[in-house]
Amino acid sequence: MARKSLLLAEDDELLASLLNFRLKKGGYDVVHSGDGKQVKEYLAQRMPDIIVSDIMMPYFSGMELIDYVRNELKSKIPIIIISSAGNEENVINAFELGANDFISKPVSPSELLVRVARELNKN
Amino acid sequence: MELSPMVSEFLFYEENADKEEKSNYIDLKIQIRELIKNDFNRKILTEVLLDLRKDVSGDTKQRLFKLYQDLGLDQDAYEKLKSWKWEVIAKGISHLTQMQVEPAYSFIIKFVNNRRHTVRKQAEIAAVTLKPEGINYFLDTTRYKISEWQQLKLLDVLRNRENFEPPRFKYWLTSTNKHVVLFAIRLIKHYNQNDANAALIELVKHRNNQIKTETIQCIQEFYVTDAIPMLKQVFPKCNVDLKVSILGAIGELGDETDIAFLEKVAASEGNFAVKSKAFGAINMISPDTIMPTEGLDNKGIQPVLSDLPIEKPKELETQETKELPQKHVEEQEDVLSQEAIEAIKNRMSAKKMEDISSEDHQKSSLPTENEPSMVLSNEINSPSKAVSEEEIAENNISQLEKLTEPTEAKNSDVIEEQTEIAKDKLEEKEETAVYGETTKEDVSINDEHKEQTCIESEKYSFTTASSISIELTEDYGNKPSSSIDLDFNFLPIVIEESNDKYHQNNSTMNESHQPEKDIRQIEVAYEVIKVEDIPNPIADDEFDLDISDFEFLPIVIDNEEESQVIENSEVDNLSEEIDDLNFLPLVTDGVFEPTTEEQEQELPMEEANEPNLTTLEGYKLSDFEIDFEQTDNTPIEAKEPVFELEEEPLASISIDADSSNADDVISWLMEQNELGQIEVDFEEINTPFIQDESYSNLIPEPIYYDEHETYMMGLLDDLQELGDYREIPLLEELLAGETKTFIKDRISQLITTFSQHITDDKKAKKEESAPLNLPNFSVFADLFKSIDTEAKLILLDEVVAVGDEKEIEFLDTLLEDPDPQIRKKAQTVLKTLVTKVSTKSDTKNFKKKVDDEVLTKELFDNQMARENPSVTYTTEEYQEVISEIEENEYFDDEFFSIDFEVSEVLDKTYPKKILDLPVEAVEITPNGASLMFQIYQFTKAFHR
Repeated sequence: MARKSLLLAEDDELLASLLNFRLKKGGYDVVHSGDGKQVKEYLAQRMPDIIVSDIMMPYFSGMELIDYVRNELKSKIPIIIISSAGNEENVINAFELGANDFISKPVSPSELLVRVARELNKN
Repeated sequence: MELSPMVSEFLFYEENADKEEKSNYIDLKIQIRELIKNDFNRKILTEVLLDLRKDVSGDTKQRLFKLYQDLGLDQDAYEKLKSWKWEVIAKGISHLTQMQVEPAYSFIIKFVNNRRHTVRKQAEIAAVTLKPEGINYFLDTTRYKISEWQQLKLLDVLRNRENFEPPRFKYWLTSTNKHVVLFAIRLIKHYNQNDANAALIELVKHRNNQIKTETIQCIQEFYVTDAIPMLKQVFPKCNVDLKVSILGAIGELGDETDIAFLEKVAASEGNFAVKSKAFGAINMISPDTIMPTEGLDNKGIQPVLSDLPIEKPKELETQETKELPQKHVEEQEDVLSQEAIEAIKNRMSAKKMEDISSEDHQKSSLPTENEPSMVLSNEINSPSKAVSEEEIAENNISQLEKLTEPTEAKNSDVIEEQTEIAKDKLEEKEETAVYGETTKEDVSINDEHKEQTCIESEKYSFTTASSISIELTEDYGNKPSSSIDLDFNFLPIVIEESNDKYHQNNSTMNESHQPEKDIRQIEVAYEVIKVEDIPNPIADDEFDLDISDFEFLPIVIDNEEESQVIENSEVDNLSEEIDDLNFLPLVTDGVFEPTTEEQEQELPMEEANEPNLTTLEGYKLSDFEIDFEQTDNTPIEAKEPVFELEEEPLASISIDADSSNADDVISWLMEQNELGQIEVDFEEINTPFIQDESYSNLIPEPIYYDEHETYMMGLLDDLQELGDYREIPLLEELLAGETKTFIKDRISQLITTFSQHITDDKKAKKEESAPLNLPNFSVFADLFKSIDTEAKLILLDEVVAVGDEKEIEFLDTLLEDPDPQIRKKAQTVLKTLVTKVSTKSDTKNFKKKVDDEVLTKELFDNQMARENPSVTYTTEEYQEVISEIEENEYFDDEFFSIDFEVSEVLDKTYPKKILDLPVEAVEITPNGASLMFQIYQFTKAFHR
């Protein structure tokens, strides 16, 4: 069975590295980028099976990413948002824009793995 | 970032991993252990883990904590706890707390009472974080303040603590630390520990307002109705905020029995917030008891009150009816609203208590409280005011009467008394208005009005009518509401002019009879003074005054008296000014000269005031008072000023002509400066003749030399100045031919001096010629002290390049250097240097040898040319001779044992005759030229 591809958009290198490791170990092909522009370029060329993105990113925020995927690329791939705790407004906006799920920081990698799997199973 | 994959590997390693993964894990473990041997890497890894801790949760976080301890990074934090620097300790505590190193608890709790607040706060957080019982320990032991922010942080830690069972925080309500008590109350509230009601009720009496407030909130939240009596009890002593809190609590917890208290508070409290809260509390207990009054159009309601039956005091009534036009009263009556009357009547009869309270409130808002006073003042002070003002005044009086009516049944005596007082007041006002004066009452009213809001209820003091209010305040919370009728404190109807103006303006503006001026709130302290008692200030002949009572007043006198007074006062002022000018030297002409007795009398006084000084230190010239004695009219020049200088100058020093202790000023100054006390060794010389002769006799007579003596002395002077030991023979010659003793002595002295010079010069020469036995010093030795190994190795290369034999000793020391690299290098360098130095020496010797040979050849040629110009010789012959000489050197050492000086021999030019002398001992050059010549001659002859 082919491994599912996952785009991880997270500017915190340390956390990204940790999640990357955990997701890879969980059986996913992970592409990581900490720059919103790179993410956009990547998405223009290739669409992953699922996107895990932080809301706060340089140049191209998680909100813009959702908007870009949903409205410009017209894709319905699952998007899971990572946000700081207490940023309720952003989370609501993200859901309104079309995010599928939300996980707050501090992140539990195991929990993320479960959520990713659930979203993929939905589709 | 290099470490993050490793960290990830560690964090997500599972025990049931396959063999390859396990192997990889072990490899990583070895790698990471090697890495963290470096301090820098340890710090980086610690930072990485601390950073990751913030981003991860759940199982990963727990693994992170475990990894931190497994790698031994917690040891660094433990080390930080031992630091002398508070910031390092705080950081160590923070790391151990963040990474949940539970074993560190016992090490950290000792910092809970650290004097450094940063350390202390970190320790507090750590204590609560690391162990569940940490909060107990903290609350038990902390002696310091717990800031609001710190309380929030601690609460946050407790809230986020899993499976935390909070202790019963009521146990800390008895803490001696008020901050602990406060925090405990908050924790009790947070954890809903409502088993501490009794303690909370007691805490209402706490001195600290914050604790009181918190306790009241807690009581309110836990619905502790038992606390109401205590709340009432403490109410009078509380500040406004607390009163509001208490009223809020009573409103929430209380029932109808508490309304009386609230009404009393509403009636007696001057503060708007408290009053409003009291009304609010009443409405909370019994809704709609207090109705809104602000901004209502009461036109139709006010006249209703006038219809209510009331027994007016006759005097007041007649006076009013006389003064106020009847038609205005009728006009007022015309606007009565029967409906409003009915409504009020119904309400008043329905609920007695509610009626009274609502009536009170209405009264407070109706114009009846201040308007009567306005009327009176208007009548008294400006009887010819406009009719409209009189109308208002009339209306106000009628309202006043009507308002008193409902309570009259209960307090008819009081009312009568009040109306009588009002009447008296009226009369007084009439009296006082004539003179345009302000009575005591006016002032007291004004003052009371100003201070009214500041005075607490228990401190109120009243007289006459307002004395009833004392009962109110004293019986807070205990007395029933039946005494609510005591709201007639407004009855002292006194007003001052300024107030009149205010009320006039107000009444003009407020034609709709808006009762906004709450004069009832003004607690008036006044005294009834009858007109007859007021002393008449115009009756001059009755003046019987003690002038001392009017000292504060300026003395006003007429012109004649003034000039007289000025004359007298001028003398006084002058003397005062003179007294003020004590610092100046006082020069008097005898008019004001004080007698000796006076001076003697004055001196002790000065002595008493001035410090007893014996020196001039700290004094200026102006500090001394100099008394000049006036003696007849003789010119000053003719007099010999003789000063007497007292030893103890105080503020003045008088100089007396009779003084025999001090001869002049200098000696006196010396004495004053203790210079005279310096002991001087001297020898007394009795030379009586000098005393009588002039100083010129003391100059010795000149000694005149004859020609020879002059010449000799001049010569000897020159020799002494310019000569040296070489002059000794000359001096000896002169000595022999000299006859004069003093010249002989001089010559002998010079010879002795020059002879000493010879010895000194020889010594100096020897010292100069002696080589300096300085130790060999290598410049590299110093450099080596302050450089690292790498630099030392580079420097050793330089030693080879620029060093000489001096460096050999230094290099020898390096052979024992602890660093093997240095040792090895030094060894190599030493070998190289020794070779270099020896080569250099050989080259030098070779060069010297060559030079010697050249010189020998030259000498040989010169010698041959001089002695045997006809003889020629070949190079071989010359070499043969030389080699023979060299051979002979070994056979006959004596030839070379002769001391000689190269320079002298070479520089000397000998006359030919010396060389022609038969040689027994030939002076030779170092290369043995003369000897060589002899040998040459000998060998030549031998060959022949």
